[in-house]
Amino acid sequence: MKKLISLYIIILLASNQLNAQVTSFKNLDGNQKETFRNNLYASSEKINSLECNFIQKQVLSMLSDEVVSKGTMTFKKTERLLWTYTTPYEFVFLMNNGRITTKSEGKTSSFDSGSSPLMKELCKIMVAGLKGDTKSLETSFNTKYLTNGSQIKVVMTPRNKSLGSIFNQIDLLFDAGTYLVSSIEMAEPSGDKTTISINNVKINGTVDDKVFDIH
Amino acid sequence: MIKYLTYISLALILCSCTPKMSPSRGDLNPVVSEIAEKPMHFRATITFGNNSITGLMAVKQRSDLAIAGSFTNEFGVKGFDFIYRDGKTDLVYVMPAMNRTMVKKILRRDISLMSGYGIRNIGKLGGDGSCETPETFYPDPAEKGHGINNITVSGSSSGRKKILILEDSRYKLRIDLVSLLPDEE
Repeated sequence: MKKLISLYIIILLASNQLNAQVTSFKNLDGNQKETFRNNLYASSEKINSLECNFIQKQVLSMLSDEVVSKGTMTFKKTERLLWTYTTPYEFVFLMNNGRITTKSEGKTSSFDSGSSPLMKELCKIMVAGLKGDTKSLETSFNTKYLTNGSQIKVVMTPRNKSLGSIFNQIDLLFDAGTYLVSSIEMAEPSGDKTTISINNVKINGTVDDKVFDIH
Repeated sequence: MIKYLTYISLALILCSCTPKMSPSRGDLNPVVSEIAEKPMHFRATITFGNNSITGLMAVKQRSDLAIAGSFTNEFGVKGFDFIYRDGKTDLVYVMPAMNRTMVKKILRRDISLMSGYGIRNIGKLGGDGSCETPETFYPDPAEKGHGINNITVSGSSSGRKKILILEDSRYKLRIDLVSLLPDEE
């Protein structure tokens, strides 16, 4: 019976430990929130170009499956975003001056971003997330700022029904010191979750315009 | 207190010993060994008229022998989830842009044929490039005169990749599934 009680205590401690991890992020109060928000915005304004690698982990809830994709992202002012997947297969996505171009299996297709509100919104989220311009997302999302000391998490919930039917919540995780984004996590109503981890970030390097020429 | 702890322990033990559902209606839902243990991933292209969407299709056979599948675009945004069982498809989730009665009706029918005739026959495709000439799975060559007009399901292999194609000429819809190799995943 002693063993049973010990086991119960271990389970209790483990669940407390888990709760502690979940609650380690605390809400930023009014002044702290404003300071971080403004600093993040000021930092984003200085970004003319950004290059990074990413690892995307997608949890398919219905199949208890995880799909991992890898690739690179290149952003250049104003609003040009090249999203290149190299694993599990090559896929290129480009947002350039209101046009979306995709390239898959050597086939290129191009269309106006207005005809795909989902992709337009996704690009807006990615660009804002990469730059740290969370202010630009506040018209579409309610935002909450939390911190664990070294990181700031911006929890965004859609304001309108249309976005809410695609995303339950989007979390952006920033380094509290550098204001650089480290991950973007998207939770969907279907129960799926996609986490894009950003690494090897290069700010304001020389990015040739030719990079955005996709044919 | 000790009694209470004993009940909790018993409950935990019982939960962890839930029996696996026994196979039923094996004729309609045969075991597809390729997807019985773990999900199989395909690069998917769904072409509808002049438009096409690409993404990733994951399929797995559940313990009740139903085939469950998810289609997402490259960015991870879900297109639809389905469960194929007893010759019928339930669309468990459909993204808002596709959530139209007609679209769902066509999807249900075509996924049923792709699952029942394509995915179920995936083991027949060698995976060593030995089936480069497409083999027709639907209409079933053994059942001449039966089947829905204007729809074909075929399979082939290219190298180690397995390819399944559904062509629905009535609605100008085509589904291409190309399996991903383990080293690509």
